[in-house]
Amino acid sequence: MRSAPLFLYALCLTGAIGLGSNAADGDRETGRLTLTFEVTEPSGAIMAAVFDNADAYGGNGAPVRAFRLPVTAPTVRQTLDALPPGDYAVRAFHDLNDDNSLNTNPFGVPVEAVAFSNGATVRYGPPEWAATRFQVATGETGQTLSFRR
Amino acid sequence: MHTPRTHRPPSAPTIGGPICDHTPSRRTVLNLLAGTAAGLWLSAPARQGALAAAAALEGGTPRWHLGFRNAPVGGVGPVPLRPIHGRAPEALAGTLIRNGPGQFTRGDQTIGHWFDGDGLVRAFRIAGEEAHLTARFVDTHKRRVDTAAGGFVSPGFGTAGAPDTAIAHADDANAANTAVLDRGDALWALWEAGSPTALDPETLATRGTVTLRDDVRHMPFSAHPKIDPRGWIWNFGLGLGSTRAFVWALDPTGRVAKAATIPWPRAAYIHDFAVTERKLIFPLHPWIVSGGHPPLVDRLAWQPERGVTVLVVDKDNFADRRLFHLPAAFFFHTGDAWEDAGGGLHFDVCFADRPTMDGEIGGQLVRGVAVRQDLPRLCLVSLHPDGRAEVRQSDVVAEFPRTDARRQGQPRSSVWSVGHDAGDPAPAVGFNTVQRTDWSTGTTDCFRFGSDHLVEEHIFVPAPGGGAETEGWLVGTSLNLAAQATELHVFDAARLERGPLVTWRAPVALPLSFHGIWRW
Ligand SMILES: [Fe+2]
Repeated sequence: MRSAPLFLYALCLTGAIGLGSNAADGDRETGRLTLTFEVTEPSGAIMAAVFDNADAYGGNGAPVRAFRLPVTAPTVRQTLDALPPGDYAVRAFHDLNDDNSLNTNPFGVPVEAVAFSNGATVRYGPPEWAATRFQVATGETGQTLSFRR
Repeated sequence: MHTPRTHRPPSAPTIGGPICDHTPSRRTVLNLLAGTAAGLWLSAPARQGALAAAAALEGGTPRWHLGFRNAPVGGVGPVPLRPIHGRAPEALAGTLIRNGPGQFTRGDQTIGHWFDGDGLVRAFRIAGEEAHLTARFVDTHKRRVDTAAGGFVSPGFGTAGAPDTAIAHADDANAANTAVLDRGDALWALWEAGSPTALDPETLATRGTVTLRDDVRHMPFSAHPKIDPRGWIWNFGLGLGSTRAFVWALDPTGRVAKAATIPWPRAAYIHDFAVTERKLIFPLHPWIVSGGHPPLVDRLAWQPERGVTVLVVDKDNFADRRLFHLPAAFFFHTGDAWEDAGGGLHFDVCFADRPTMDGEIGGQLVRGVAVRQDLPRLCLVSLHPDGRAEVRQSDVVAEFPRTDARRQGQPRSSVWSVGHDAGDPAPAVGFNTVQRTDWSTGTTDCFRFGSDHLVEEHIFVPAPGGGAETEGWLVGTSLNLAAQATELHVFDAARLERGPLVTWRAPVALPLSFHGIWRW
């Protein structure tokens, strides 16, 4: 599986982007995205990155948002404000051991659970942009990502 | 067909004879006794079974296909087995636990390959004169996904699966269908490309996937681990399509003592290996895996021109490696290995001229289509300190070789296996004989069940307190095609030619299985 380097690139190199949103609340030209994460073990943290184009999603570019969300319950949520309407995709993993990276076994297969937007699943590697993208319009949008290890 | 012997006096001619020699005259006698004559001796229910089987054959389904039909979804039993011959040895109280594929059709779909059927673990419990059978499917992720989909959507060795089935790691396709390891408070159902699956040793209920250590989660733990006399477990895992593999060592407490990637001289797919006190031996036959996705059979190429490269790795230092070369041969199973005083390494192995079970054959078996037979023969490979390697080939058709577990990695002479008379026309599928080969004398003695039986692996169970190499029993199963029932047999391991000491018959025909263990 070749997913690990992509995850590491997306989440470690660009983690500095953080959660900042400069848009004013109630900006009618942007959308609000609520991401719901369902986990099997309520510990560690969710590491997630949000992309707005296929190249960046595929590892050639930066995410528009990236965040770390501590997990204290079977379901945790993160809201992202001020997203310009358009196509987005989310990659995430459940960082159970809190080391801020997606751990893999010696053959490169993730040993921590991964999840993608649009319900896309892993098949020998991460799903393509086309399978993960979803639309953010003005107003409210929601996506649920379930982790299974 | 040994059953009629139940009622014959000890002086009556025995099937198989004291020594399985292969002279023509003897073979003629064996043919007569094991084949033609046996039909006349069938009991009434057995004759009905035979008629049913014959009718099935006329309908286009060969009767051996009984070994490739679905087991009941909920498993079997516990149910008592019916004693049909002999008496059980008093000291033999324990359980033969076997694993093998149990489901081949679902809805209107037929699975792509025998090796991909969901694991059905079968426990044959012997207590006094009584024996009971319990069988349960291993409740894997794969089985749940396939069941929910009403077909075979998970990929495997020879099954493509559905293109949209989520596969995050190997354990999503784990069939847990190949072998069993006794861990004391648990049984592990083994596959070869993923993790063990833990079962309750009494109920056979599935507990779940075993994570040996978090950083090596989902790494392949093959179906043929070797347990040394001190309780260390050595195993390997394939990096399919790559020139690396993985080596495991678990200490006697079950802790992962070693877990390391090793270079693999060629991208060979092998199913078994051999282990001495100091060395790991990987006979890398020329069945080469190229990159890509399942089914594995589509990525396998037989390249006999490349011969066999035997990789020998030191247990204490994986960087200490040595290569030996042999002419082309194919194997699924080794017996065991030992090192002699001069540093020579020796292992028994069942070598064939080409793969005995490829994508085509595995698919034909589950569909009941006639298959090509390539017969493996029992061989002894010697790797000499000067770099020479040689194969001593017997004419004994042999598979599922087993040795005395107490002597793992130690010098010994006996190896038990299943096979059939090399001079007989090969049965359409499977084996009909149990046999013991003694490398020190070069002799093989055997018992031939005859053409009504598909004989499964038989394992050596040492007699309590016994120390001699053949002091114990050979315990195993066969599928009686005439009676349409699975049978459990116990032999005196030193006197196979006398036939089973005891045979019980199950009220059900279970599909053929691969490997078993004995648990006291
Ligand atoms: Fe095997």
